[in-house]
Amino acid sequence: MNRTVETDTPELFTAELERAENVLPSRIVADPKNVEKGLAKLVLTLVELIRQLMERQAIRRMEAGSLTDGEIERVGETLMKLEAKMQELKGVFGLDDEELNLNLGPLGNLM
Amino acid sequence: MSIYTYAVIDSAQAVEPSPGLFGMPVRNLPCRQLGVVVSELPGGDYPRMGTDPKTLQTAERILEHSAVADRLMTRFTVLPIRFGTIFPDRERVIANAEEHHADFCHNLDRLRAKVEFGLRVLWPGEAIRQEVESEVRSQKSAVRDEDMEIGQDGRRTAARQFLDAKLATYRLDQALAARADQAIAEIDCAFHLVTAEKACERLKTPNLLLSACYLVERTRIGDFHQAYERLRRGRPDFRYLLSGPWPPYNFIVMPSQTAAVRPGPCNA
Repeated sequence: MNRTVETDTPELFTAELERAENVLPSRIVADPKNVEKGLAKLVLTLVELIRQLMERQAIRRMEAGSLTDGEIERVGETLMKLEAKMQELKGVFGLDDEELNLNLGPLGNLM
Repeated sequence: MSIYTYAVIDSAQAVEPSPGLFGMPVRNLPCRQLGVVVSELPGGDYPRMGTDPKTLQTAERILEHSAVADRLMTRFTVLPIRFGTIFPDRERVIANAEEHHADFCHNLDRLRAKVEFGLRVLWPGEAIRQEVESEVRSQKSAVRDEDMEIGQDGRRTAARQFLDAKLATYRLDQALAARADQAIAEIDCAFHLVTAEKACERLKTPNLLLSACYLVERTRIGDFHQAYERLRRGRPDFRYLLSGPWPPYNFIVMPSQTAAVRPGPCNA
């Protein structure tokens, strides 16, 4: 029983699989010299998860037509401010979007 | 001396002498009717050598591990053990095998005479995104009046524009996911009759439409290859990477895991 690996485009797969592997950081690095950034990363990842859940819920309700104009205004303003605040905090701690990514199993990646 | 583990097999008999990691001889530690194939790790005591595979993770070591599993696969039903799994001594290996004996037996029965194939499929992600985007945009134009509701003061506020933009992105993502599901359903159709189980992930990257593993009976390997050739001819616009047969790395289901699924719509 001979194993084969066959493709017409090895270079395309090499590049794409490297990209797929780099989607998520392998693990959280607990560096004692940089504990503040590590903690901020952990907390901001959780905040980002909750923010995105709220955002998706709002969008689904908006699409279903179950939000009134007033509610859309309030929710939109809240989410907009929250997103701006997250950008600000990410800047303060030198974190980019990919660093706050999470693998949510069957739901896919957070970002 | 630390013990490095390779696989659980459906035999308690001695295995043919062969080299394992660092060239150390491989042997079978019996546990009732099963065996755990192991070798000793030179010069490293547990936990200093550690359970972290990164301490061992070189191409040479990975190939040595894989070669052992491959050799075993030709004679036994194999439950490959994750690369880098180390125990402090033989007793601990056997105790662990005893603890999971029922699960190992269940998996060996399920995976007997079956092998794994891996399939990766690329599609032109950017072109499809643009196509879907224009479809979504034309649908949106048709309902523009409904979508572009304005506030009581007659203007679309920043908050409203923010949510509208999010809604547009959401609709695009949904349409793209539906298009990917449609393509994956075609691939599923090609393999449905010749595979026992599958595990798959959809759109791991925008171009990587599908990363799938298929469990195939040894007697149906030829059928699987034919199905693959039919798929390639039917969808020449996709790019494929097929590998195998492998030991069934992705189909071992321990009680706390649900990695493998039976054939059906892709659940990625």
